[in-house]
Amino acid sequence: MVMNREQLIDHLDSTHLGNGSVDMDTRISEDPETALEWYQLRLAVDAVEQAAIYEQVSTVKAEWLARQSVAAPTTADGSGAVIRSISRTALRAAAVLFIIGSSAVIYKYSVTGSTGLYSAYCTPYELNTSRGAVLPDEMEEAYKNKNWAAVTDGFKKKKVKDNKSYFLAGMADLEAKKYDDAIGMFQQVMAANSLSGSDYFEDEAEFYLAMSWLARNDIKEAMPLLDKIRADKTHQYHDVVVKMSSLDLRIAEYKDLK
Amino acid sequence: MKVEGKFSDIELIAAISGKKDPNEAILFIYQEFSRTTSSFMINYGASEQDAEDVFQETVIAFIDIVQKGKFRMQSSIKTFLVSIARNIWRNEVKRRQRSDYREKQFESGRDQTEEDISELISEWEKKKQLRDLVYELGEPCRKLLMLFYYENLSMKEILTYLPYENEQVVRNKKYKCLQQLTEIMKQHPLIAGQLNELTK
Repeated sequence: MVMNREQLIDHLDSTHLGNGSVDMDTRISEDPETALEWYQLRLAVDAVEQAAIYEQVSTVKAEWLARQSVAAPTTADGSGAVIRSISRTALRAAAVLFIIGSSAVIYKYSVTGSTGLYSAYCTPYELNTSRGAVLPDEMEEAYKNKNWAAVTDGFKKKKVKDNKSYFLAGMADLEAKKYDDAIGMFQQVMAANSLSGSDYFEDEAEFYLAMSWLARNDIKEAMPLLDKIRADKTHQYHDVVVKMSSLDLRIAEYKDLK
Repeated sequence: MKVEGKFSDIELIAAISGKKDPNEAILFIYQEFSRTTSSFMINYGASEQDAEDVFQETVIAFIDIVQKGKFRMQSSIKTFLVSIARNIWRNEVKRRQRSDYREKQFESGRDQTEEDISELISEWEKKKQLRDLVYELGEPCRKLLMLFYYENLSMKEILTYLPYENEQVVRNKKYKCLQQLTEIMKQHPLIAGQLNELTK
């Protein structure tokens, strides 16, 4: 062989960047053994490019399918304000209500905390049927069956891990009360989106990351996320966060500071 | 990733061949062309799932063809995509050895553009078979090779994505990963056959 493997790979890389030398090409073509090695290397690069395009298209396809399957936004509760007339009886009842109210505030202060908020507002994530799955997905099946350990196993086995798989693995960790692991998974989704400029599973990751912080009794970390979601009317979980009582949040925050 | 506006054919080609964040362009392709292409395939006997899978492969082939500078814009992107899908589906039908009937239906609708695309697709399908072999590499190797050979990142830039100490470590690792991949490929019957042909 007229060139060693290392020289060939250097030439491959230069050719890939458009700086290949004609002299090297000639040397390669003059020696059948080197030409064969060269051919293998070119095939390897083709294979890598194909895999990269496949991953790119799979990610976008998953996002496109997710957008298609997003249910129509829930309609706002149409009930109007209830107008109550104040009667004398009511005034008399006010004193009683004041006492009950005061007791309720004291009770509320004693029971409200991050974990309580988590229990009150964290609803399980429902996985929609993925009509366009390329292959039956072991991880998604396990998730639908609420088999959290199998979701985690499926995640580990997955060759291509996209945001959806990180998110579902995070949800499985959250359900299994492995809050630190869940936090890592959701943060991975958000970091990947930040790098790629995508928003695939971004809203879900933000909300459930906030829930994971609450479950971990760490409201300081949850608050910036909850504030962000509350400020963004287009956020998928805006309505849920708006319903969270600010009093509860402030009490939990105050207790966390103490 | 939000598709704010429409892409003209020229803008779409520029976005894909430039490789700089082509995700919006790919999403646009899905939004604009998947329905037409899928309906076409369903007319030729594909199930909904088949149509979806074939469309995904169509997009992958299209990107590969564009990035290799082989799309000459002699037809609109829509026509080109439908032709690619038609070729991929025809080959899939052949593989599944379904009835001659659908095959004949395909043959009757072929024109010169189809003949040209047919060559591109058979070339691409050979490469597609190599794709799975990349997944026999571990994730770090796969990522490293993709960042270098697809994203065209320098060793220095790769350091910001992968936890290696310095550029030399990245270079050595890339060398080993590429060696590993060529070894995997040599074991594959298709590649082994091709290599035997070349040595004859």
